Amino acid sequence: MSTINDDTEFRRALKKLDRDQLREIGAGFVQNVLHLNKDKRVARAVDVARNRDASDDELLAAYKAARVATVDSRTRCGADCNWEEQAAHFVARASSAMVAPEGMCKAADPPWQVVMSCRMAQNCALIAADDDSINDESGNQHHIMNDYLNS
Amino acid sequence: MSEQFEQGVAELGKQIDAKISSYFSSCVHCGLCAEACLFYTETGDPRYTPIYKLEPMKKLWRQEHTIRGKLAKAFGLSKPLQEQDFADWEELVYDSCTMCGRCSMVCPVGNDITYMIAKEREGFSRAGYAPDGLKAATKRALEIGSPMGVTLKTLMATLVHVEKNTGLKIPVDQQGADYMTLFSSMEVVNFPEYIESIARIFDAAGVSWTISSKAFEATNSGIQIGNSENAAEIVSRVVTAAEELGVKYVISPECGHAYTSIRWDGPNLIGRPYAFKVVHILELLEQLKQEGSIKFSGKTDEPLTFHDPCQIVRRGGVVKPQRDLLNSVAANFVEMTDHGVMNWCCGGGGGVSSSERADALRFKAFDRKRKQIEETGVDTLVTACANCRMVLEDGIEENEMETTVIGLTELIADYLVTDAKEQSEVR
Repeated sequence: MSTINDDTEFRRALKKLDRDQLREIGAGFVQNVLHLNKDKRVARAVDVARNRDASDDELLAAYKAARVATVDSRTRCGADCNWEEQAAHFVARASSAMVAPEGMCKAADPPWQVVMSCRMAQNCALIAADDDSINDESGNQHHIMNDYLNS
Repeated sequence: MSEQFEQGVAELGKQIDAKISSYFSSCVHCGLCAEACLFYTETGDPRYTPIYKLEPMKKLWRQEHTIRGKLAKAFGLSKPLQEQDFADWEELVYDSCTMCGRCSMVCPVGNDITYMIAKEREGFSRAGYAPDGLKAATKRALEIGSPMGVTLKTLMATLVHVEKNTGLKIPVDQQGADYMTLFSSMEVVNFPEYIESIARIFDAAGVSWTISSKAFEATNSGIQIGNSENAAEIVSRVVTAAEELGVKYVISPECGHAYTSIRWDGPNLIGRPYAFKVVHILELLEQLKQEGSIKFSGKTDEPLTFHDPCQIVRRGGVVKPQRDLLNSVAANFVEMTDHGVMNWCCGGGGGVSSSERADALRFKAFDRKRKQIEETGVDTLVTACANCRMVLEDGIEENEMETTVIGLTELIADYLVTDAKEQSEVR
């Protein structure tokens, strides 16, 4: 029974997953912060990631749409940052890395990009709410991973 | 004629110094500056000829500094500047000039047209003729300390995130540290991975560094809008914080104009030399590599190219470090045509990207960069400026290109040897 409760074990567990599993678990991470993003392209990417039978074309289309959603939702240089919108941006960025076909996400570790972007999204949401509580998205992700591995 | 406009004209007059006068006197109307400006080359509109953007200041110079102009004015043959002149030229002065400096490079008589535009902006901003986005950004920079409204509290929230992800303690207000690091708001808001990367690199290299809670913002809206007083105030905050902490160096981050303002304009703005040195992050990374303080393991086979941020490369003089660093981690680094000091601007510098009304023109101007990227035949574009990165990504999406943009410092960090055992293996 998996009882991951720190990032070292969490990373180790991620490394053991194959591409399909990484997409599935990534969908779980993004789903947990999906309420911060109302863009249908992002929700669609989560649906595609969850579908083990998704074709390469479907994945590519979902990736391209999520990437455009990522660029569309960023705060432009010099603009007053709206942290709610910025939270949505990081959810979009996570979804893009989640469905990226091999080699298309240039992050050194795309699954980790999903993890980090979800955490950053939660961070932005806390800033937007002027909430001083600790961002425990990492803890949520450990639970999601435990549930996934134990299912 | 409004009082504010009169103040703007008076300010414009004050900006006409000996250099400006000699530049106007020297112009041979060759038009080479037009061919160097992407707003002209990509639109073919002669209004975007760099020297033409200076017509209001030129008119004032002629009337106040030439015999012919003075006589024409006295006999009513030459009208004084009108508000409509400023209204008509505002787009040319702000939306169609990124202050990239390419025009200055090609001028056969050595006119620094970028310097002239900066001076002209001083008059325009005083008169109130500047983009709303830049005005608001400057106001926030002065009142909050960041053009994007990033407060110390929000920075600290991001640093907590960075600490959790890296397992490293991010030093804040560390008295006597060697280096004080600045960030652009863009890095805090959009690219926290930059902060993580330098934390990891500095940890591996054993760099003594700190962030100041009093001045962490690198950008300077005062420079972009053309308000020296505001620019000086923003520089002063950094200088005061650095001198209070007793650091030896201040690090300018992956932000173009931040480097120009703190490294080159800063001492002149505040009227004295600093008690510390300013280095760009790329210069420092290269130095750490040369000293053997950081080592890399492996290289990416992915073909990639580099977009030179104008203020860091052409205006800033940092040309070789990024290439040396790239060659350390990339097996297939391909140069663009016109790379280095003659590279073309992304189209969003000088405050252009902060102005929504300039978007259509910016996308048009991006066509030059699109062609450059496509000529290389590679899909990965590396750069070292957060604003360039955003503007490039915007243009790439607008043109439905397959290119991905990544930051150089992050790329370097991906290949960093951090483990002591791995370090010895590399040696």
